[in-house]
Amino acid sequence: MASTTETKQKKMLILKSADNDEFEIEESVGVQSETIKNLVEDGFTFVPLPNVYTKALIKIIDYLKKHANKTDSNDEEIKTFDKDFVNTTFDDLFELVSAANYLHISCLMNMLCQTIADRIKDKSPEAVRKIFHINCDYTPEEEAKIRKANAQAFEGQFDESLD
Amino acid sequence: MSHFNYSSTILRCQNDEVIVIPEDIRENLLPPLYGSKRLHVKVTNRYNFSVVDQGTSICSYVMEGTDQISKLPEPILDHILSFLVTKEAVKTSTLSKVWNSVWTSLSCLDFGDNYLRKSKNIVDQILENRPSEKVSIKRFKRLKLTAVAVNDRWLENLLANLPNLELLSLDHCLSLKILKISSYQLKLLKVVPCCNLIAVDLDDAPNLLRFSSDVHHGRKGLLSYFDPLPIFKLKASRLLEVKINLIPDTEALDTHWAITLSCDYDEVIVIPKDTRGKLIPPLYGTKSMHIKIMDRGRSLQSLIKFTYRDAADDEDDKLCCASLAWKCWRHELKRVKLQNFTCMELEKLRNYFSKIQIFRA
Repeated sequence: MASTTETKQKKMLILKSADNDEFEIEESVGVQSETIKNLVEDGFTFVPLPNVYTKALIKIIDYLKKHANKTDSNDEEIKTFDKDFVNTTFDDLFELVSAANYLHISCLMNMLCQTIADRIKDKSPEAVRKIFHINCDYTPEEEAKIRKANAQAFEGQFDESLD
Repeated sequence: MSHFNYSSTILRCQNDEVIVIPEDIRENLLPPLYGSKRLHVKVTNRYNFSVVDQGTSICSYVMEGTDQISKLPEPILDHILSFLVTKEAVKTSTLSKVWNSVWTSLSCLDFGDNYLRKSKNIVDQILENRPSEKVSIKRFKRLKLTAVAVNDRWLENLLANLPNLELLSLDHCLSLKILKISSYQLKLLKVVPCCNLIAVDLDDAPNLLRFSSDVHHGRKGLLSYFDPLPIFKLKASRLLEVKINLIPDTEALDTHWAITLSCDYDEVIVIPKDTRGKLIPPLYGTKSMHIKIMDRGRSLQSLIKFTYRDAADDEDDKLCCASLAWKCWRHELKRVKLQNFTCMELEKLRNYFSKIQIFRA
């Protein structure tokens, strides 16, 4: 009966971050990432992630664990978790979005991109530049030309606040 | 900005240096640095620092005040913009050259905005203003049109130019009468009240996985609700899921929603090949049908789930359709699962499905 107990045992994976920290997680948790899933299907149990730093990886593992245990009853709990998850600095969000993109976790990717997009929504271009510290590399003439080409997008009132 | 100045200070301090923080700037310090006596500054990548406190806690500190977002790879910026309606997305083209490049090759345009209500010409204009329109338009995977005055022909022409389109959403496109979809890639189609729609022809969408539609009906008069109900033509993939919201007139006593279920095909047992395409989707090869009945403020999510007979189960050779390669839906049907129906509705449905004699609630 040894084989039965073996199959019942949870398969584990080791993830190695870009700063060489190793994390052991259940395979069922890891395969929510398409990138990890492909490697697992090829028989790997050790997964180096040269593009994902420890700090982002810890948060992402938290996310995957939470979402792996999704049932009908903890729907609210997961919603609260997600809300807290994206309630962080932009720099964290950008780290996470790069990691989620590399790992191909589409639900996380959508959530993060939606969060960032919400900060662009309704704002004037000037406000968006200030919020994200974007340097304008247009000459005034170039900028005027682009504005003119898409003039109808600039009708109406924008939100100039930075929050 | 005090943050930025202080960041420069960190850049200058080298490993293991003791930093004395003058009292007057302490208040401006960011939490991970405040009160620490020693700092190790390790540069882990271009703009990300790990700050190791002398204590046990390890904090990562990212320099603030620099443009991090523009450094994200273009596919990610594309993904972010895909959550904005076109009016918002076009605005980002003025931010900087990087953003203009993302905008002009954006793979998703969401025209769901009231300002486009005026005319489809604005849609044309936006498409024309994209420098490499002919190339980039082919990349579109998602297209949402809300209250855009498109006509059948314009849409058909547009779709012919979008070979990679996977999601099409049409919302209040009142001038649309016949929606004909020929798309190999299309996976999702959503049609919310386009009141003048007479027919939806999905004859040539073999990879369509989900089709959802809101159908207002029951009222004749001022508001142009569907009258009659639109005809759905469909050559479905086995995997297709159909979701139709029937929204009856609140004044109507009889909600009529069962009509779609019992339809006129009650007597059709063998479905000849040439008429298969004319069947109403829920009855033809679909996996499950979600029905949302909205009734006087009460919103009820009901689900009818069809389970089909596997080829292996098929021992009964007396089937009316036995001689055909394709089995008629009644005989393919193995189980019907009903959820969230009221007693009366359930009774009606039970009667309907019990005629097939394989119904299990």
